[in-house]
Amino acid sequence: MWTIVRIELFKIFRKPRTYIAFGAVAAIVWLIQLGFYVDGETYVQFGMQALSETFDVEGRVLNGYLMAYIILQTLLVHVPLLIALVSGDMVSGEAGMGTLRLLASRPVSRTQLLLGKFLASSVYTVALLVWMALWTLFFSLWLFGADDLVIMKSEVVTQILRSDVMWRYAAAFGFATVAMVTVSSLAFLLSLFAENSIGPIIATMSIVIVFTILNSLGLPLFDAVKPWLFTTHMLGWKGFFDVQLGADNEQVVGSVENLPAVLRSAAILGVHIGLFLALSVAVFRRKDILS
Amino acid sequence: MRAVVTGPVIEVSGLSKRYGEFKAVDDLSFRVERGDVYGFLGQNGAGKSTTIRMLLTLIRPTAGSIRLFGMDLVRHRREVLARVGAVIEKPDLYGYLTGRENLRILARLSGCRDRNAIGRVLETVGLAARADDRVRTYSQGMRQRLGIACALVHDPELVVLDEPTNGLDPQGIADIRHLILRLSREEGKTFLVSSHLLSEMELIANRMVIIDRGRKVVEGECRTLLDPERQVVHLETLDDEQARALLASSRWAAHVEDDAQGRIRLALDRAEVPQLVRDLAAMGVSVLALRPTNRLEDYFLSLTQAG
Repeated sequence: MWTIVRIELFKIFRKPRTYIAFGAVAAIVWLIQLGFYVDGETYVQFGMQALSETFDVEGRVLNGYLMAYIILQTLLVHVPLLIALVSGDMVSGEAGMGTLRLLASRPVSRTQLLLGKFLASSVYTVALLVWMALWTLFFSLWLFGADDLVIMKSEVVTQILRSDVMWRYAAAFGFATVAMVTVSSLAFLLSLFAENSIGPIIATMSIVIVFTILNSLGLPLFDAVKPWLFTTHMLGWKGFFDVQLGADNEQVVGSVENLPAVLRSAAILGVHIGLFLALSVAVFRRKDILS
Repeated sequence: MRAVVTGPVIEVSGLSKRYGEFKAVDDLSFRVERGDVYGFLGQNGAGKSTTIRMLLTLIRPTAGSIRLFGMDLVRHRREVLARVGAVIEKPDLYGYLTGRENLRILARLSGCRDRNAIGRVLETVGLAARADDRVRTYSQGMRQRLGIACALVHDPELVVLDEPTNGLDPQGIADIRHLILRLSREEGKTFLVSSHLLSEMELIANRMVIIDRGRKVVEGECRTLLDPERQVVHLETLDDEQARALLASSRWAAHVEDDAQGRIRLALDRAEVPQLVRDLAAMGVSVLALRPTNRLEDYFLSLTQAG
């Protein structure tokens, strides 16, 4: 199995299209950082206007941690496309090139071959998120410095101590990884039914978009299915930035307001991954490989 | 350690593959013995590639059984495939990788532990000088040779080549032919080579099977099937009706056949051809052309023309 994973990783990282995603992430993050570096203070002052009338705000609100939070909110919506770019190509790309029959006629089981490919695409997903973390978090910290994280939501302002932030980002990226592997496993499953990667990529994005729209619609008809759609849980990483309040209304350092909900979201995503992967194995084992 | 094979290397029995109502392969049986260069002949669409795909477990048969090296293919898939190398249809490889990288991938997947195998096989197919170039820069002939190198890299006992000379120039075809014969003679490898060209198979195969519309037409030793003493003579005249009538009332009546296109042909021994020519002249038949061919070649040609 390890041999197959290594081979698949070798192939992934020798393909130029792999680096499109890394380039795109770096470019988008850099552009947002540049924008905030030039005009960020005005933007933050505008956002904090109402708060400044009641409180004295000290310190650097526009810091690396806030930048990372803003960028993640913006970027994680679009990353599924970058994930699908590679995962949707894992089997369909081989079928299109005619190399699938080359692999399937070798003395390895189809299940192992498929799992090897899936693990390799998951490694790619993790690598992309690590890359994203480096740019969004560490580069932002270097550029904007560190301070407490102040998050403004519609009616609530949450201030998280700088000493209490880093582990939350680690957990958020961990959660985002599970969410993106879910998208990856869907694209992977769809790639079994096509002979070029365009179809699976478009199909994956269409599913993500349709489910996201269903989530945002407040129609009772869809309320029953919403809790089971993977898109409902993909932004569960934000839960790590909701801090529990103690009896004296003070924040409890190291706490998460609704950890069971975050874990439940992660579990539902995990079930989706298992389901998509099991379907992929079942389909691939029975598939007549003609190309 | 490999088990010593005493029986056939390939034994196919009652193999069928249906796609709905369409029978791609229909009750096909044949045997390939150790050391054979076995020709697998049929026109395009006859079911050759489908059969080869079933031999390599790429598609599932609807019925029938396949035994390789005396083992059931389904139950001993990995063990069997470790001893088989194949090029299926055209040698599609990873164009963005070099020839050597392609070989390394396939060697590892095939469980090849010999570090020198890649260099050796590149020398064998004459690609050592271009091994570190990307495959997308290769010519069709070089891709074909690399495909064969991929099939050979783990030193298989059985090599399956599906139309290995497709798209090659005459020199490329000759190179592949010589390579197959050399590996068969010097290394004792067994080859199953599919083709739609009888002339090609005549030059390399010692045994062959011809299939048509998924069914076996004939199987046997090439020297028997291609016996030059048994001939079919195609006759073209100014007036075929008259010629047919004259032949029907002559000593050649029993030899006259009609081919699929309604032309006159006669089945006879090679030694009888000069007498036929003399008799036609004596009967006053205006002969435009008289073309003797081998019976198998004639049959194969009729299949191709009908297709």
